[in-house]
Amino acid sequence: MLLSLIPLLPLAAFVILIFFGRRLGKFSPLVSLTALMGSVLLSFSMLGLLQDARFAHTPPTVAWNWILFGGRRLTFALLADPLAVTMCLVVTVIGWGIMLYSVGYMKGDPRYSRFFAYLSLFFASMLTLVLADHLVLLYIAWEGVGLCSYLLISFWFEKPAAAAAGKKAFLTTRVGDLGLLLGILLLALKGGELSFRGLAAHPEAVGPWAALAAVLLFWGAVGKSAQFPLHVWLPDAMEGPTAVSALIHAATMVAAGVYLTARAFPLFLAGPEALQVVGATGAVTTFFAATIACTQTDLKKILAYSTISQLGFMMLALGCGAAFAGMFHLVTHAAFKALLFLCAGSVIHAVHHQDVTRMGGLLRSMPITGATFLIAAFAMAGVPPLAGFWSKEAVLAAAAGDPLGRGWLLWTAAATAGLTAFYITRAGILIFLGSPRGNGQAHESSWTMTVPLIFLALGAVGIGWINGPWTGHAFERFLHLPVWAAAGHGAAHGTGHGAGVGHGPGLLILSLVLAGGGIGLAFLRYGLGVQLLPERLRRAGQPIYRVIANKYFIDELYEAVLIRPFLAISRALFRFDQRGVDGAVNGAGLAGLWVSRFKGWVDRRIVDGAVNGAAAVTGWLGAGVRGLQTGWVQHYLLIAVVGGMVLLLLLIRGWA
Amino acid sequence: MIVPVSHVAALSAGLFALGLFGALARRNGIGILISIELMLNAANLNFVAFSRAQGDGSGMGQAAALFVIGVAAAGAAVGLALMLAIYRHRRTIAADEIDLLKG
Repeated sequence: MLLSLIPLLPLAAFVILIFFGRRLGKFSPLVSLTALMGSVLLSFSMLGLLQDARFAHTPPTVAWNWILFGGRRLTFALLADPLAVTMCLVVTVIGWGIMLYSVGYMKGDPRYSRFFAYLSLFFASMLTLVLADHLVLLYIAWEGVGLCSYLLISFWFEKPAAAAAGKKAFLTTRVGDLGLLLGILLLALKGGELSFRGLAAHPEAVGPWAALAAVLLFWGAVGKSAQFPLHVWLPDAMEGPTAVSALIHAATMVAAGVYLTARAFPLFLAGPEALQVVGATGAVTTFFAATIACTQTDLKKILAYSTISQLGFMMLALGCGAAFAGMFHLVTHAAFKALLFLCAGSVIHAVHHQDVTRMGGLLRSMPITGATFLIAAFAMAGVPPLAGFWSKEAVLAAAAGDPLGRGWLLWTAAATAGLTAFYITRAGILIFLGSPRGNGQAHESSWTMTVPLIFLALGAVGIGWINGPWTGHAFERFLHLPVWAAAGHGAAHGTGHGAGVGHGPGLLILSLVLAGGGIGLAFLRYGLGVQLLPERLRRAGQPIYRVIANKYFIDELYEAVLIRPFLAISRALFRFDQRGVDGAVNGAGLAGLWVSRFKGWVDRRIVDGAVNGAAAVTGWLGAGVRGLQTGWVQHYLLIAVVGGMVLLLLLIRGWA
Repeated sequence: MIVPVSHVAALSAGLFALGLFGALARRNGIGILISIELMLNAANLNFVAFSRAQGDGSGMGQAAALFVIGVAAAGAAVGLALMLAIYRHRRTIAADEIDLLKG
């Protein structure tokens, strides 16, 4: 039951804040921070439980029956296996740091407590998603985080750009969610297991449909993790508060797609054709987003494309059958990318704009932010012994040891690693080194913002060591993810050593050369101002540069191919609705009106006439008779006497 | 000397006619009440006379007369109370000025 408290605590915080947030005012963060701290501690206790030998093969679970129909059972089941606990720790620990950061970052916002309510709802959904053992429960949580993402991106909905970005994010990820839903339905229809434990035990239950089901699930992951071609929402999502970008659009929610793929990995292994799709999507995404990131000047856009690229990097590893490498990179990426975003937030807070070309020399005025940014940047570039080095190496090793022997995956991954080092060094130099270019008076942020920076910096330095060779690859043994034994085209649970076959000194040297080369070139170009390419080549490359700087015109392409025709169809349908359907409805209404008018006439003239006539006759009679009632008592007595005498007369005469 | 019943009946008829005239013609409410007493007593006279003339010794007529006297006393009491109440409200007991029940 303690397990269910992990998502329920933030949910309780959400309920409290949504009802009493106004009264709590600036104490609202205390509620969410306390609740989330509870989740952090519970997650750690789950980690402790998993160390216990009794739980090694039967991880802690909670389950309630929800719906029973047709012999099929939907359960609200939570499962704390090593993968889920790892993800839980990433979400809650990094999330707590970011929430603390938000206390300072959102100070003075008119919807301060509402912000923390949304954050708490996000944590409740995200932790449900992470712990869900059932695909339907996962789907519910999946939509929940989508909703929170929408609410938080358009948190400053007074800005039209933020409102539009929220809408775009919601609609684009919905396209992916459709795939996920179809995948779940396909699994259910073909008699497959809907719980992850069942899926791991009988991945072959759906037979030849496994590949299609896996691709459909992956389609959901493409939307949520902003993979090509559904990546367009993530850069726009940067309109939200930077703390949200760090939490949802860098560290946790966007990683949900990678997590889902790793979680349903047995299904992918049962239909290995799906891994072709995963690998190709990851490779395309990671390279093309990295090239865009090299050309952007908006700080948050650079980080957004970097996130897309890194997520693609993880997908690439998964596509090579190495679920562990992808998850390992997910964990380290969560630490350093959240840190990069928080540093960006700190910088933006200080200089009040996001254009890196107008920053510079900030290291002197913001030493803590600058130092932590450089740590995160080097971690992402892959400088040893920082976190990114270990996981990037694992991914490169996975690509090198691709069971299908797709050499181009390794070259794409290697090129992306170089580009990553280049663009993040470029950003770091433009922001923090050189001379100030119109920054105004930048100053270091308050302690609630710098403490999470230092805390995450420690993570960005050390999180990779959990899988260091001197620990005997402890993290990999802990996660115990299925690996792909390509020859037999089947899944095998193995721990292996390293992540792939070609794990040798050659790869290590390649990885170091890529990181060093990228950093060195960026330093030459932006630190020392050396032009890297000869003049003629640069002029020739100008059109290519423009295409990349405009993000390959993909937004424009979607605008022209999808959105405009869709709007045109909508308008045509609207017009049909107005003329055709509304006409019929209005005609029916008019006919009803005429019938009613006639009925009204009948009612007034004939029915009312009869009633009024009866009343009038009664009135006339009354007026005639009222003369008898004089009110004089003697008058009445006289009538009585005369009446009596008449009766007497009749009696005497014998007429009666 | 035995007074014949016809004499008593004639006296009674005269008394009744007087009462009736008074009840119909007087304006004063108290006068109307007195006239009604006259008519009741004319009836009493008849009761007693015919009871005696019948001669069966049962005395039913005399009992009836006694009842009428009792009822007349009650009627007079209610009538006087009404007159008092009307006088308090309207400052008059003239019968032709009281027409609250006029239709």
